[in-house]
Amino acid sequence: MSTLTIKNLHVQLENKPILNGIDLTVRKGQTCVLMGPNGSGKSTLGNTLLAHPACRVERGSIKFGKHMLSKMKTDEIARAGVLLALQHPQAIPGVSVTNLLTIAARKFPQPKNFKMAHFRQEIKDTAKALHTPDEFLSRSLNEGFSGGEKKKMEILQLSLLPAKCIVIDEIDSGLDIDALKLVAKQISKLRKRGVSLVIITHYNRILRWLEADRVHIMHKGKIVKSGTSALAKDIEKNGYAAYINE
Amino acid sequence: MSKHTTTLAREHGKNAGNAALPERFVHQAKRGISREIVEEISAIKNEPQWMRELRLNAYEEFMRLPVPTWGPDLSGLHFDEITYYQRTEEGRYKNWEEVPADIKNTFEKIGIPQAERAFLAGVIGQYESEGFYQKLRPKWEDKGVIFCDTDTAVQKYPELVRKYFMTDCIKTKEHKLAALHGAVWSGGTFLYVPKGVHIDMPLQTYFRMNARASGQFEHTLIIVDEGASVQYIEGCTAPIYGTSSLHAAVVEIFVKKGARSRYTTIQNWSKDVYNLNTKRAIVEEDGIQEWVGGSLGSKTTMLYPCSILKGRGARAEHLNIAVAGPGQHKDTGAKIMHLAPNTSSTVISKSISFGGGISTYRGLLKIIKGAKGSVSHVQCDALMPDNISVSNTIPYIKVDEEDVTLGHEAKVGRISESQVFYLMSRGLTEEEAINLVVQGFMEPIIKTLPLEYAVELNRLISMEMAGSLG
Repeated sequence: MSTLTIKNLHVQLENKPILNGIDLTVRKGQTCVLMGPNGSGKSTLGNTLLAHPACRVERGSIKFGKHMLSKMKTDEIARAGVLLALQHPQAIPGVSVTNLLTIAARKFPQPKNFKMAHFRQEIKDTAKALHTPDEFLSRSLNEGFSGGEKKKMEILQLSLLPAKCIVIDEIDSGLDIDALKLVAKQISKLRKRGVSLVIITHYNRILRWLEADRVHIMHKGKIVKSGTSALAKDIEKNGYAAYINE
Repeated sequence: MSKHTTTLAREHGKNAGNAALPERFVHQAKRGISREIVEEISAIKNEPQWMRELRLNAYEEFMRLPVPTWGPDLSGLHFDEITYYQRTEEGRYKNWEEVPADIKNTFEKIGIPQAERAFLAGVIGQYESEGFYQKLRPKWEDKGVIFCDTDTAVQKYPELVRKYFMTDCIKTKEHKLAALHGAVWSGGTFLYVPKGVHIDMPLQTYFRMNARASGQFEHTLIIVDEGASVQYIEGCTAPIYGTSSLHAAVVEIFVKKGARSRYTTIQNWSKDVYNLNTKRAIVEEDGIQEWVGGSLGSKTTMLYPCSILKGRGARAEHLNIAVAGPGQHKDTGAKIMHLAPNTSSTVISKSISFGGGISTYRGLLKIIKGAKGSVSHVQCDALMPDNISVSNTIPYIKVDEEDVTLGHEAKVGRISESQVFYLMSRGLTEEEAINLVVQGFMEPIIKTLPLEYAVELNRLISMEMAGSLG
């Protein structure tokens, strides 16, 4: 149930091959970390999971439970419970995160006792947990926000929509240590709910607060090494060199 | 530019406001314009001699003046094919129950009686050329507020009307359409707010043009006396017919010392209407005039509300949204004259062009020598979701005083693939994502509208754009 299965995935971006045969399985509730140097294809994988129009699947498949994600549109994938925290969240002038969330919430299957007033309160409570001042809830989303504020807004949104699997792309860039701690804490809450996590990261800073079940190293569009959290620690000490020398 | 002269409007049947309903008249003038028709209109209305003369003089100006050629193509407009006056009913009603069923249906579909009960201080309904329903809450009547259709005002308040009607503000000799308006005007709103009276609920008039190839020439005259304040809202629609109709309204507003006026209009004409209006306010010392406009529908719209900042410290705010879809040309903007020291003005103009539509911001900003300390800021934002539409900005600025602060910004934005992807990744469909970006773009203007209008305007715009994108 709700296992994410990627099989032999080949993806092109602007007619250039970026992913060259990715195989990956993330079981329900598992935390999987994708690491790798810049340009290894990590973010392309994240975007492909959500069917970004620039990412063209040439071969292979992505399945989540009974849903064949590689044949679905972005919004259908989201509504199937797979959500993405973007590396570069877009500014939407004139639309606040509260506007967006109240519209988005209606698009998802919700429990029978779902109440909008209650949901609005949850938005405020989650913002508080992330130490995000209330004014950010009514300002234009991401417009003039600092890198850290944008990342918090991503986690805020993903916490409030009924997600089953969350892909988090470079959440640690632009966050100071205190903010990173708060974000990691919020992500841990999601994990306790049984949400699967795919964490894409260049550094393993966030892994100080989040334990990974599996760690995969990507290089040139392939997974070149898989292991446990010990692998991440090794990379912190010795760098990628040992894994990417062919 | 053949697409401008296409006369067949695109049907959008979902829109009750544009649904064609039976035509009904008790009097209809012959087509075309002549001295006789102008006299006939005046005679039917049993007007005093001065108004009859004003009309006839205006008719002479109309015959003399050329069709303006500096803006959009008006070659599809044929003055001889238009019916200039039609009257549907004798008399006026003070109760929705008395209003004939088919007219009542039209207005109920657009939600007018409901809105009156909910949040308005007064309402006038106009069907074809004349007002048929009017009501002002007694509270305001008791304070001396006058709110009636302009024909009634000519009979009941001739001194006020004669003093202000196309005299100091907009003159019939200014251009061909102002002259035509002076000759054949009918209906519209007359609003007088006495000194120091603050009306805290909006007043509203709703105009409905229902007959084919007809003209609507309502005249709105608003006088806000010293220290008073008022918000007035006009809504306009016409159904879809295959022949060109003309809407040439005039709005004159007098904002006296320390007074405040907000004029809001949401216009949703059918796509065969030439919408050519002249609107102007004269603002005296410390007065404030706000113009809020949403221009939807129509084939060609020319509209440049003008603020004449005559008194020291006078202020004008212009907020406008124009939406130009396939085959439509929106030529809109603002004219501001700073004639006294410490006057200030702000213009925020937003346009959306899609499906080959053309929107143009045409602005005039004039600051005369001696208007020291004046401040003006103009911001034009255009949104173009595709590559086949057009957006123009033509700001004309003439400043003869050095001690002023000026700002002008113009931006053209697109709806980026990244924005749409971002919103779709939160579960919104592509259409919903685009609509949300559009709504966000208009938000600075939408938020100044009463809630009911904000909801309606968002709905109309997403309906206009439905199916044209993606």
